[in-house]
Amino acid sequence: MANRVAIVGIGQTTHSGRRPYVNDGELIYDAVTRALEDAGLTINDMEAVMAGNMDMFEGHHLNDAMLNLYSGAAGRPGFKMNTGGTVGTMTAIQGWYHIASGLYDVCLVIGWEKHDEGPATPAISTITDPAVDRHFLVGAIGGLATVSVAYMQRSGCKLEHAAMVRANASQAAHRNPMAHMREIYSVEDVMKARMVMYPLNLLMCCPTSLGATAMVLASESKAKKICKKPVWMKDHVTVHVEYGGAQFGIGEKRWTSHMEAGAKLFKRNHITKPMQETQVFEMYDPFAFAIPMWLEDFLVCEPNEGWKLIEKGALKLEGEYPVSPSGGVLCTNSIGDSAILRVAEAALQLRQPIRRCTLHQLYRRLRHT
Amino acid sequence: MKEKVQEELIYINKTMKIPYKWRTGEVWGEFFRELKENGIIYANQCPTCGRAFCLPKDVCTRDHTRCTDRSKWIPVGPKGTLVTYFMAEQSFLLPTTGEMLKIPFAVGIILLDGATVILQHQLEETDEEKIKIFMRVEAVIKPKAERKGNIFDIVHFKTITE
Amino acid sequence: MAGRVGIVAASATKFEAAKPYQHLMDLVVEVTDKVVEAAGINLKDDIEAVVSCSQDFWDGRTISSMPIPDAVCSHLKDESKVAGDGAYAVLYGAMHILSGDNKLILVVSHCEESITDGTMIENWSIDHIFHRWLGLDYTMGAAMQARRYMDRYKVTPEQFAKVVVKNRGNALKNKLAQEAMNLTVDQVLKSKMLADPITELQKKPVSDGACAMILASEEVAKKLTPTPVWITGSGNYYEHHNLGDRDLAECDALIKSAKRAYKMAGINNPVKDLDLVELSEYYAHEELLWTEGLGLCGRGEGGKLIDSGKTQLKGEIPVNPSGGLLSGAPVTVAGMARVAEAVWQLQGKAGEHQVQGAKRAVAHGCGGLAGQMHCVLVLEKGGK
Repeated sequence: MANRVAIVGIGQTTHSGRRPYVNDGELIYDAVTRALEDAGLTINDMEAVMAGNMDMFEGHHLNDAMLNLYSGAAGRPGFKMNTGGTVGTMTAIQGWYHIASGLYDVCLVIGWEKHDEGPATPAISTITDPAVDRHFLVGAIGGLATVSVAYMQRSGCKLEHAAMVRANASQAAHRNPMAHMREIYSVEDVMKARMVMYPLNLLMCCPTSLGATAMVLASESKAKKICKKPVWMKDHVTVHVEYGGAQFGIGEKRWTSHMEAGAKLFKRNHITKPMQETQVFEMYDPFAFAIPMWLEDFLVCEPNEGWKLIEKGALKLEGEYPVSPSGGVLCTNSIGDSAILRVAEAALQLRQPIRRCTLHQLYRRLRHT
Repeated sequence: MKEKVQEELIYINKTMKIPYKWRTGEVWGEFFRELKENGIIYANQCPTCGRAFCLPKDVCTRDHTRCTDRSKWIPVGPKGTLVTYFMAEQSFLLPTTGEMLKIPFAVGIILLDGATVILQHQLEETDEEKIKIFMRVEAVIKPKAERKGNIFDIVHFKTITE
Repeated sequence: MAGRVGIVAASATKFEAAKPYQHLMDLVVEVTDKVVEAAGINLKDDIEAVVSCSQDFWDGRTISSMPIPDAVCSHLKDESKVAGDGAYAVLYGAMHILSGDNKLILVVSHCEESITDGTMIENWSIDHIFHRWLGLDYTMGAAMQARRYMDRYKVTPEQFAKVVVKNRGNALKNKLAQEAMNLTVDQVLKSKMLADPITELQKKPVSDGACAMILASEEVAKKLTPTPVWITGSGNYYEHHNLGDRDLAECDALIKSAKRAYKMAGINNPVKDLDLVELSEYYAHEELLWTEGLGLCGRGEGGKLIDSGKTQLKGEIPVNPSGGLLSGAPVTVAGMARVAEAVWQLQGKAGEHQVQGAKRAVAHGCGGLAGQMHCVLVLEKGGK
């Protein structure tokens, strides 16, 4: 039986578009220091240090090893994960495996991105094969725009709903001092923004942020000694889909990685009514259509209901089922850090006594094109 | 740790390039050869589940059956249906050329007639009003002399009415 | 370790200087099919998760594991990518099993070094504020390390050359090896000078290939094969990156890794307790340094160890009976190929370079500038 794993320390840097007076090592060091302070531990208590980041965004090969002085990994065990947008969650899961396997008791996991230092969009385009479709992806936004168009067509969701999502997110981010875009936007403001890639306009896409997040994970016996309110990483799931038509429902029933992930996770944890049995959902929502679309896809709500929930205001910070109360990726997107930040924000929510249970890690991978 | 606005420090500005020589492999190699020599778009069929892949696949992603048997290949398209699309109205840097994208640039996800798996390619139509999901499109293939055996042998997909 | 993790089967492609007819995916399909057949399982139904290992820059694509789910039939399954040496992927796979999450998983690593220029990629892994712009690559780093090592411990280039003669000679018996040669010390020393004291033959050749492995929980492994190989110890540590922060003549990270792994596996005297060692020597001098780190001899005695002949194929503690990295294997696959060789040895399937009666082995993976990260795995034959 696996050891239980808890999050006992959380540290994130402030997020912003540019921080010209900080280099990437210092950014990591900032997050690590905050996480250790939060846990009341020192780097010497860490048995392993793990990092997650993408090589091409800033142009560094093996950057886990390169920056290990700052992360504290020098002289300690650890290795790097690299799985794209999901890398942050993957790193948290890597930490989970380190502890659940019984090999380590206390670990530090780090995700970071310094987006102002490299070309993110062309780097993302290179996820595709150079021989066939690399020219036609145009970054993450290209892929996300295509699924948005399909979603609008399928469900009846309108551009206005996406604008509402963004307006909600701006309200949430405004209250989050660590978020990148903290300006409040009204639905009209969002609708008026410049179109970047139909149907996504500038405000409906995530910004390019920089920032880092670190978490201290501990085994059950250690966690209880370290802090009074450990947050347990109860379950996690990772799912992939093939490249093909299944996510658009061509030639067969529509079944995406989200659906499989949601189905597996809810079944394993005996959750039958996700919206009642969980209280908050931190979603990796890199574009405004993500929240309605993926709530449906994660089987949290019924098909084509997502945008109706938004109309009702149910997903707002003070609504009945807050989604991304931190402002989400829509307001802060430091890619290598975004996913681990979702875990961290969800854990922060759980530290408050009001909200008890949650689905911990709905994990998705940028695999839609 | 509150941050003060400081004077900007020194940047290191470099553009780094790495040369690559990617292999297309057996299946894509054959696909591109057919496209170049005969101007035909081929899909390969999985002998187990019968799905026709265009772009072709070495193995079926569902049942791991080898799909390299050349006799099982079928020509697909050039007509097809637009499943979904995006339309770039802002320019981006392209990794394939190292240059900025010429806008407007519309890319469609297209299901070619006879295939079960989607193909992603550029659309000729760049007027957003005129692009409709499930509209019919057709591949425009370069004249033989200009074909080089790569994905750009298909110029783009044009809208057709049937 | 809590439970035991069994390696059911391993497979690798033949390592070649270039595989122009194969897309990366084809390599993965090839090794996956081989290993699935060897393990006698059904890829689609039995494998629960996949751990892959590759690196973005070497493959020229971000998230280089993107095509892997297609190649290993993991539609709607779990796949995660380790960006480092293959030995880490095996370790991560073992963690999947130890945690109780999975019972049967596939680990694959793949790389086609020949598609690009390794020097540039190595240069990109060096810190971008100070040292990258000096034009450093791993060969230069290795040369500095070799010099420092020679200086401190009075090891000689002839002793480095003996490693090449031994490993490339062992490779003559290994069907998967890329560069198998009958060499003399003189030939090695007289080959083209890359960065003094490292000559061309002392460096791992550019290589293409892939490697795959099936890992299982104790119960499942015993059902699947009469010859499971157990992972009984593991250890991995980083060195500092900045060359000024470490002494290149030492290998503290490896010493710590080995210590941890040996403690887990209950090994007190590595030379006696181990039957063979498969280690990652990207450059000839590294084998000497790593044998010290692994405790096969005292500090500074790596040169004497190779002179003594103990590490020869028929010696007391054969090191790299397969020919090691000097006989070819791409980065990222390197460490996993070492594990695979050790597995075949323990299963008695190594072929002509079989070490008779091998029961316990160490496989070592490493990466980064002058061996910046090390991963040590102790493997044991069934029983006990």
